[in-house]
Amino acid sequence: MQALPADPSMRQSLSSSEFAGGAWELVCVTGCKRAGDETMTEPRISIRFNGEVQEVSMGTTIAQLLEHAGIRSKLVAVEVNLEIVPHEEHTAHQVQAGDTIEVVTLVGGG
Amino acid sequence: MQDRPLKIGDHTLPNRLIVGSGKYDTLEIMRESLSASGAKVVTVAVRREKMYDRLGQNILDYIDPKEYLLLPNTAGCYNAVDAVRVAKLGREILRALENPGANWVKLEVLGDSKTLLPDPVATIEACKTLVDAGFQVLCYTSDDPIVARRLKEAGATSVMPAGSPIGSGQGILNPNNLRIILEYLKEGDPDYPVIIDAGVGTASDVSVAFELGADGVLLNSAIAHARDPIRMSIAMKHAAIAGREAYLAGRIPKRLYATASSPEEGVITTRPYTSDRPAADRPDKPPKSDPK
Repeated sequence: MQALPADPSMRQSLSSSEFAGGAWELVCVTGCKRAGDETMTEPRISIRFNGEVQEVSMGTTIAQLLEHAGIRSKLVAVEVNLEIVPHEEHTAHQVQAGDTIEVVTLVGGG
Repeated sequence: MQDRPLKIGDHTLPNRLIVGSGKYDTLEIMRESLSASGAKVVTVAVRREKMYDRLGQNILDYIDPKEYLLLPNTAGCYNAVDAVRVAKLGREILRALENPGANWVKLEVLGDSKTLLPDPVATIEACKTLVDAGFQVLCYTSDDPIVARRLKEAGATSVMPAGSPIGSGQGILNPNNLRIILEYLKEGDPDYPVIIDAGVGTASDVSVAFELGADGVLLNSAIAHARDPIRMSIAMKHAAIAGREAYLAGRIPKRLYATASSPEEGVITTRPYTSDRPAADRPDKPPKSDPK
């Protein structure tokens, strides 16, 4: 089960082109099919992930989300709807439709 | 003679320089500069993880959290709610890294993006909230003594007045205000740490801060944007030692007239104008007071 396409460029097109214009709240929970995508049967939900709308499989965990984005879990903090999800809960915490997820890390600063 | 170590909350630091990790041209230069400065505390900022087009590099690949004590900041926050949010995210990252810096934060709540001057009302509010949430709060503030006193009352572990605006390189614009802050905050509490944060342009600014009696200096741009950051790091390291030692040694008072260093007795030459005052009235020894 692939929650997100492995190719980042595909993720980008999913998020920005199909959900542009503030339509990201629309939630598909019944295994919706899109034109030209006959193989897609998993229930999909949309989330806002660091400002970008993304579609992921239902049941996707924070840990899976980070892994698919190529983010090292230990170097980030994750916030779901303004609440921090501690590192210990990343593997268990499933994202929900409409969640706003922020992933932050440390950068140079004074 | 050994200087006593600087204690800030739970943390005891081997030296008195705190350096930032921002604005370096490359992470390699940053790493070398941090090392050359001798500082053990390094400030870092909290930002969104880049989702696309990232090189896969993280600053923590260049700053060993086992070697440095990290001090996360709330830079870029313009209200208390945002500052508290960012502080908690920073704490969560440092907790996972098992870095002891997880329990403290450099609180910075700015008033506007042109001056980057702190918003004193929002800073005091955020300071209280963070203290209640268990943080040891190091508060960036202006050089206003009254605000500094309010921040200490709000529970700040350290008050960190600016010498001049962030990144301006203007050095210490109002040493008198810093003297008053030092006097107020250390009254009956001589070990309370006051750190000069922001405004340093070059090494002498660091020395001046320590000569005034500051416990520490926090700087970033003066190193990161120097033509040779690594060399400037070395200069800052020595300037900190020089200023602190001079403070501990006790400077001589400033006088209008000269005081000869060579004996005035036994001179075999003549002088054009004789002094009205005998040499004994012109003491050239500093007052004997313990600068602490």
